Formats: sequence, C-alpha cells, structure tokens
Amino acid sequence: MAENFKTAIFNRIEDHKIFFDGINLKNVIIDENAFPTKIREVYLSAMQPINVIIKVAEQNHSINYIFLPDTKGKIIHLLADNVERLDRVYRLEEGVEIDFATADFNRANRNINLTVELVGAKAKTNWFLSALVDQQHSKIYDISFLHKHADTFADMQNYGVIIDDSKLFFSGTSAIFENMKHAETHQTAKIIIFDDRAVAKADPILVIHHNDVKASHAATLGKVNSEHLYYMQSRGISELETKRLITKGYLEPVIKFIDDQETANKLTLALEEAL
Amino acid sequence: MAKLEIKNLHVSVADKLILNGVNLTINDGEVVALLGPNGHGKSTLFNAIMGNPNYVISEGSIHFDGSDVLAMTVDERSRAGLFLGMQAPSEVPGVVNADFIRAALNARSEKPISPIKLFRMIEKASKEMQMPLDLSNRNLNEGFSGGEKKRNEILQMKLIQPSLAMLDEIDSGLDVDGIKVISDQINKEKNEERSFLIISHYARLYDLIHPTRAIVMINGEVAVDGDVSVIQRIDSEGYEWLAREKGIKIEKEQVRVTSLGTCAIKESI
Repeated sequence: MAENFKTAIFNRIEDHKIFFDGINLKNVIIDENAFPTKIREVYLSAMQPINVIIKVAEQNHSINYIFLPDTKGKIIHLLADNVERLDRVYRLEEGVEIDFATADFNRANRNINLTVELVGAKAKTNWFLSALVDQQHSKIYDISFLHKHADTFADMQNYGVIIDDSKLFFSGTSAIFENMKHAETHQTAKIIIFDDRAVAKADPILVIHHNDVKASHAATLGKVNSEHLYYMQSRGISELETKRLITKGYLEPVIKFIDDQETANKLTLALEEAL
Repeated sequence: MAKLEIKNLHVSVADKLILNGVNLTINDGEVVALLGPNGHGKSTLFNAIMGNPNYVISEGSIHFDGSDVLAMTVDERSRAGLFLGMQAPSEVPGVVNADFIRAALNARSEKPISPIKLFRMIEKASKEMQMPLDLSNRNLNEGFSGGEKKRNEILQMKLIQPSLAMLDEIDSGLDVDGIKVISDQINKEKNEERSFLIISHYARLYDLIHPTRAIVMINGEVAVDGDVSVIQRIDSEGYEWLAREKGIKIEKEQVRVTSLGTCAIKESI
C-alpha cells in the first residue's frame, strides 16, 4: 500500500452508518474489510481535496457512499482477487467534485454494479476504468450515472482489453431526469479484443428526460488495428511485445489520472506483471 | 553475393495482381532510385519485401544476404536488416514514441538498453533531424504533422541502422528545408555496406542524395534498369518516351469508385 496514505479514522458509527467527517489529510485509505458487518452507509466529507483509496470488500449487501457538500477529490478502487461481486451507490451532494479511478488488472471474475447519483447542484464526476481480462475469466461492469439535479456533470470512460477466450461486458445507464436542466452526461466504452474466442459487449444507454442538456455516448469494440501491428513489427518488435505495448498504452491512461506517484507506480507494476 | 535478390515475384492485393514477375538485384552500397507511374507496383514491392500481410505472394522468391525472406515474419525481416520508411506512417495511440524506440532497439540487442543511453541516442538523433525532443514523449506519430512523421521515419532508421533501407516517398509532405534535412541524413547514413532503395516522384530529392542507379517499374514489372540519366529524362519528359522507345504499353491507374450504397430513392408519382 502507498506509504504516504494514512488509514482514515471514522468519527462515529450510528446504527448502520459510519461517518468520516472533515477528513483533514490529503491521502487516506478506507478499508471496507475493517467495517463492522452492519454498515450500509458511509458518510464522507473533507476539509481539502483528498485522494482516497477504497480497499473494497466483497459484501453480501450494497454499501452507499454519501459525499457531503463541497467535498472534492479522487477515489481509487482497489479490488482484491477475491472480490467477485460488488454493489455500490455513490451519492454526490451539492458542490461535490469526485473523480473515480479503477484499474482492474487482476486475474479474477467480477460482477460489479456501481451507481453514481448526482443529487446536488454543481455535483461533478469523472469516471475512469481500465480492465484487463484473460485466462477464461469473466468481468461484467454495470456503471450508471443518475442526474437527479440540474447543473450536474458526469463523464464515464471505460477501457478494456480481452485476451484468450475471456468475457468482458461494459454496460450502464446515464439518466437525466425531468427538470434537470443543464445537466451534462457522457459515456465512452472501448474494448480491444486479442482472441477470436473472446466475448465482448459494450452497451452504453442514455435515458434523457429534458431537452436543455448535453449528452453523448460512444462504444468501440474491435481487434487490434492490423496496420499498427504491422508498423511496429516492421521495426523488429515481436508480435507478442507489440500487443503488450499496445495493451499497456490502452490501459495506462487511468494510471496517469492518479496524482500520487507511489500509487501510480504500483499500478504500473501491476499492469506490467499482468501483461 | 547480392544483398537483395528478387526473382519472378508475383504479388496480389485484394485479389488484384499488382506485381507481375519482378526480377531485381540490389548490391551492397547501392543507392537505387525506384521510379514509375502511380499504381504500377513500387509501394507494393516494398510492402511485399517487408511482409505486409495484405500483400499475397503467389509466386517467386526474395533472398536477403542469402536468407529466404519469405520464410521470415515481419519482425524477423527487420531484425535481419530490412527497413521500410513508410509512405503513410501509422499513428499508434497509447504507445509512447520513446517506448517504441526502446522496444525496437532491445529487440536487436542481447541486453536491454539503459535509460540514459536511450535518452542520449534519441536526443542526438532528434537534433540531427531538427525535431523537438518532446516528440519522443508523445504517442507514436499521433498528432504529428506530415513532415514530422517522415522525419520520425528517418530518425528510426538512424537508430535501428538497417542494412537495406527502403524509403517510400519520404519527401512527400516535406517543405524545402525538410527535404534538405532528410537528404543530409540519408547521405550521412550511406556506407559501403548499406543500401538504399528510394521511391520519389520528384528529381529534387534525387539531386540531393545522388543515386547510383535508377529502376523504373511499369505494369508491375521492372521496365528499365539504368543509370541516373533515366531520372533526369523522366523528370523532363515523363514516362511516355518509354512507350515509344521500349514498346511498353503503360496501363492507366484504375480509379476505383467506392459506393456507400443508396439511402434515398426518388419515386415518380
């Protein structure tokens, strides 16, 4: 774990709620494995922009994270191999600006359902996911943004690489509800496939109930560009190394999004080991 | 022994026969100008030698320093000493230019190149090519101007040090200064063992790099194999004199019309 990150200390627990009020550290870890089993809601606020590593635990129930007004920062999900199923809701209140980064290079099966609810004015989020799946594993990500207030912004970018006869699905709904004027939502899903036996699906859905908004979605699935393969191999680089470089380039942008250099280096190493 | 020996090469692209029995020999130290009208097989020849999978070889042989090129993969051909400076270099998003160069150098070295040595090599080559050093930190050719892409091809050639460099219209898209830089560097890389095979439509480049021989490809075959006076004659007269003096019927380049289909029909009521 990044040595310059400190474990966040909660202020109080009330029934099924845990409170991290007024975090005054820049880099913190929230370890779900240390939560009491009854926890269903996590309340977060911070006195300065924070980087939070959430060590995700597989739970039999959903956990809701509520980001209190004007909280700003980045959330980095750390998924261990044994986290196969995950249900989370992230609620962004007024003025909250939270970006999410998930780098999933583990050899594991996943069924991940995440919903980001933007419930306050000026709530804003950027979502980055890089996923590598190989060796007959299956990863399903259902990521949704729900704009429940006017003047909210969300941009989702999901990138995936499939090797071997594995499975990777990106799906999710970006919804702008009635009266949510000036809301803005974007979805991008891109998957590179290296094996004819692989199964890939990118299914971005927009549900828009207001005219004065901005929304877009884009999905790309395909094999590695053969011209790129030829160009790089024409310089003496083997096919395997070429595919490794292209994959690394495809998945690495999520790591560049992470400010903390030590965490970024660890994820880069994890990616290189996976490749 | 000839460096490159091509015998009776027949090559098709998208089921169309482009090379119709090419015979060609290139020796050590030669700088060969490859000319011919558009669509008559020059780039096809280069791509067939390099192993582009879109080019199907139905007959013939290619040997390089005595080894069978057709038995090699694309990367093996490169490591054997072949280099192709492409007409339209690919933009590869996500792959940093410096990482690409490092991988290319490591592919032909027993020990990985050290970061310091790599930096110094790229810095020196960038200076010689008059390219900003920060281009090496950008994604491979992504967002490069046409001239920068061509300079990047020569930069790669300088670092990889091939034994036969095929340059496909390396001057296209370059301004006068760019052509001067490229030709200076080509001249600098000449030696007794390195050969060049260079396609250009313009005498200007050839005036600067001083080829030793000129080959003209017409209708997918070698029509003329002569000295550099051929270049001057083509530059001043075009290719028609070949039809008169050699009895060659120059087939016009076929323009393929691509139909995107019909999305509207006009009906009379």
